[in-house]
Amino acid sequence: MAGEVRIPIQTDADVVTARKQGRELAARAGFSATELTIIATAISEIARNIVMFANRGEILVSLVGDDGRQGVTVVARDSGPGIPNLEQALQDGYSGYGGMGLGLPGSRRLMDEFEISSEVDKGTTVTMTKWRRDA
Amino acid sequence: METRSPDEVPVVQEAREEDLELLPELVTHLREGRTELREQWANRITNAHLLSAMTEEEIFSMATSVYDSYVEVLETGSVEALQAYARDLSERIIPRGVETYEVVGIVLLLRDVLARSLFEKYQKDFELLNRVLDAYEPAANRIANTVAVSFVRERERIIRQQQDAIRELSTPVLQVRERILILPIIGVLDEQRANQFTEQLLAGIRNNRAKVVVIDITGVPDVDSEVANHLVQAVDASRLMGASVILTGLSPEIAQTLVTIGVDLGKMNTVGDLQGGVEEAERLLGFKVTRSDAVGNHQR
Repeated sequence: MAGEVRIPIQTDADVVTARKQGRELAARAGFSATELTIIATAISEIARNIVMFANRGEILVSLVGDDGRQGVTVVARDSGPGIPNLEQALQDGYSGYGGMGLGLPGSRRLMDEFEISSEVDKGTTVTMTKWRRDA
Repeated sequence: METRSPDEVPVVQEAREEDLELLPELVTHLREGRTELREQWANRITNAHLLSAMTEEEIFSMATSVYDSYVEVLETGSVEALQAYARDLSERIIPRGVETYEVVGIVLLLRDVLARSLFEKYQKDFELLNRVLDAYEPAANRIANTVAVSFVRERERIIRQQQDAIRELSTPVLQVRERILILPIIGVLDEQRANQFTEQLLAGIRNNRAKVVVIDITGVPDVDSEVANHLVQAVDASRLMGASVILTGLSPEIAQTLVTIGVDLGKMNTVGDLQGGVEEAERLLGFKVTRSDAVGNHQR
């Protein structure tokens, strides 16, 4: 399938793979160097959360487009423990593992559209989209 | 459960005593048919397009050794010699690009060739054939397992060795002037490398009594909040050891991304490129670099 790539996430190495493949796919849609770094970093942050908290999950990166604009959507899914307090998790500085606590709120800032749903003991799904800025 | 040495492949099937009596007969049959059966096997390997990375002579030589090892296992019941041979063979063929499926493939083909010869020999006596197979199958399967596992273990050992080698390469500590160190980081900074990097950084500070360290991340393709976190911690630790850190090589894209995420690198002294970083380090330590009219200034 031309516009999509699916990466299983379980180890640190998978985070690197997700970043790389996500970046490569987005490059095909003509994103700028900065936008590519942004997309890769957002993928990295979310993938890391999966590795840290859910043990395993999956990231799907797909090219999207409507009415002449091009974009990339990242869906990160896991069936891990879920996030009990979403509001808290989306705040800067709140970290579940001694990091900077910027993964979720940071990704939200990096991408144009960001949705997260989570249920305790069921899992978490993050859907985020970045649209190409045509200068 | 008895403890097992890490090299041992567990025995999955056991043959019965009365069937084991048939083994000597089996061994004799395989020894007598050696030339013919070995050739049949080699033909099957070629037809299946396996071991394309090896020459015909190599395949023949390997086929001879494996065949003889096979018979030896049936005769002695011990896979030790086979394991040693398989390890040695794997070490030689892995760098040539031979894949796991090929190694498993050829051992199974030999198993098939030998089984067929048994069917042919004992076709008149179905009950005897069954007993012979009862003796043959556990041994044959154990052999296939042993070879496959040896091969895979050798691959894993090589991969570990390569990883260690890469890690050795990855974070040199360079002294560019008294008390000034440069640490270029190249490649992805995962958790393990980050820890190794910090260790080397702090050891370098101590061993060189460094006052300024320039950490260059031009060669780091992506910096997310976790990598930034590692860097911040490395910098904090360096400060504790009395050295100040200058971070260079932050690309515009990464800078913008980090700002958007909200990473605060404000405490860090950052300079655009490595040259600027070294100059800043020299300035911090009171060095002054002047240019004399020596080589290269012949323009008019």
